[in-house]
Amino acid sequence: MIRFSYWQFRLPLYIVLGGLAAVAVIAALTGPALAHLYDTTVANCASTGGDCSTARSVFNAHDQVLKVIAQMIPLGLPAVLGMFWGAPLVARELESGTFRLAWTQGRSRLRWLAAKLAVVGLATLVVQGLLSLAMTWWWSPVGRADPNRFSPALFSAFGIAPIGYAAFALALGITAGVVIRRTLPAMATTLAVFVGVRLAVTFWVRPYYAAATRLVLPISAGQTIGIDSPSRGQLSLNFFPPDIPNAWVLSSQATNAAGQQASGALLSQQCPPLLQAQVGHGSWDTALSSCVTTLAKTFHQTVVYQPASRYWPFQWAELGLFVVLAGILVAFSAWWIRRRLA
Amino acid sequence: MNAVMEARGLGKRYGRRWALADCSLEIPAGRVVGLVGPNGAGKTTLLQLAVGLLAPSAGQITVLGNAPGTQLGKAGFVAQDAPAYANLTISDHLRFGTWTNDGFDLAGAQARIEQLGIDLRQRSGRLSGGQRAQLALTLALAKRPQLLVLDEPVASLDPLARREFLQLLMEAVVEDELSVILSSHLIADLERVCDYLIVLAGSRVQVAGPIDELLALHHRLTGPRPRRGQPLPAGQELITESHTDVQSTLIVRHASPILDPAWSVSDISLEDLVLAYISRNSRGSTQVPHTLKVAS
Repeated sequence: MIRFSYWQFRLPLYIVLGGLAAVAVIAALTGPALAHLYDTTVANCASTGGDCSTARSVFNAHDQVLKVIAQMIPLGLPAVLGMFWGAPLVARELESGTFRLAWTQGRSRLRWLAAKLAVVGLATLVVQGLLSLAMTWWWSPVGRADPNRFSPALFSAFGIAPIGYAAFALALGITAGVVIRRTLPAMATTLAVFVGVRLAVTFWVRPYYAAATRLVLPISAGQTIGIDSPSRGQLSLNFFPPDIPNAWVLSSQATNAAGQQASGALLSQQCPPLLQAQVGHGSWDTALSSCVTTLAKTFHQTVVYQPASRYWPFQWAELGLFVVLAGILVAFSAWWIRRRLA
Repeated sequence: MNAVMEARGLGKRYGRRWALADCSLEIPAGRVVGLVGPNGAGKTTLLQLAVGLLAPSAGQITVLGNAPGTQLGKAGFVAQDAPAYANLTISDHLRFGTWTNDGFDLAGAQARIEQLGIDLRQRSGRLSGGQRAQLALTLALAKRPQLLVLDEPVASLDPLARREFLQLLMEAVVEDELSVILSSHLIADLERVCDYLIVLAGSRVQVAGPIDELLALHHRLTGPRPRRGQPLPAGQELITESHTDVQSTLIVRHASPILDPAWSVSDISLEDLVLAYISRNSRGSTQVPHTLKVAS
């Protein structure tokens, strides 16, 4: 049964393996150059000491397209596997009627499904795992130049979480195919649901894997301040959070005890010189620093974040969550094949 | 174990429609059973229930003494239109049979395919309808089943392919002593190979039994048109009737000899028998014609 499942699965397997090989070749050709560039710019600068922002921006400006692609491939592969491996796995047999042939041989439907899952599931884990390895290797100079990998896009592209996504996408495709019974609608459904679940988890579930750390700081004129002035007399000051190395900053707000932000009426009341400076009366810098000094008496900046040390626990939590979801979907598909398609 | 298939009160419902209702059957072993009926009568439903592709909504069914689907190796099945993996070759299919069945007769199957003149390296998607049906039958026979269930195996075949298919089937029946249930709406094909008949119409079993017994039990009566209220000869069950102004033709199932000299009695063909039961159903089996009383 397993041998037949493999035999049946050869073509889609070889196509994806071919794609993987192409990606590996491109990575192998461009990876060393990127590492060399890193060594001659950022690493070179760091060894001499001093401000490396110029070296960093030179490095960051290179190979931008490849860097975007290197993020997109691991993000997109699970969806591709779910659509092209998962959805047709059962749906194609239901569509073409061959399930009547397959389910009347000497093996039960559950063994039939288990054999298919064993082959396609293993292939999924291997393909996604190999791709993750290749992309992580390729990305490592970029990661050294900017080590923050906790942002939503990078978190989902590297590490072990993508393996969970791939398992989930495959199970989702299989389930959609079993329930919808047609390949193309099942593929479309797989893509839509996969993207929806991934976004929902990223923004509504992942921040809560552990209670976020809260940091309350005084504001100061020394920190980076963004100034919005949509129109004359309408000013708002945005206090940028202090740099928390490699953390995932969930929110950052400067407010007074009443929860008001530094903008509009409050600002014109507290800092009249600033508004005058805006229309050209007096020095802007002086007005701003005196304003911040005034505000600092009542304002505090609250930063909510997940510290860098939680990166791997969060990777494991994400992997675990998606593996559990995949398990539930597989169990549901098995039940449906056994009971509902009877 | 005498019955290859036994159904009691068997029914299958889709939504509110019963595709098969109140079906009770006992099919003895060693028969070639023809399941006949108009399209939508429930033939496919009954056969899929027998091989465990469908689960009954009501009643029970046992096949070879077990619930269907529990001993998949003992029953061979060829589904309607003989589905096959279009992009796999014939030898892939034979390997599929070996890998998914215990005791699959690979050598026998290869010999049969070669005998049919089909290239083993050909993809099944490029086979003709007849060749695909032969492939499906070969796969089913190579399982060495005790029961072979065939759903409309010859419906899409041309007359020559049909003859070849049935010939292969009959050779296997003789060699392996297997029981066969096959459905068809072509009575001529059934007549050639079957010795047991089940007529299915309107989701219900209309009549079932060995063909020779059924033919001996049913007769055509021809005689002057009876006057209103005049009873039929005693001991007859009226199946169908047709009338001209002066003459009536009845098809009856009789329990005792017909002695009434007013009626001339003749034998009927299998086709007449089947059509009588199907047309009785299409008019509604409970309706009793007002010009005639049915004697019990």
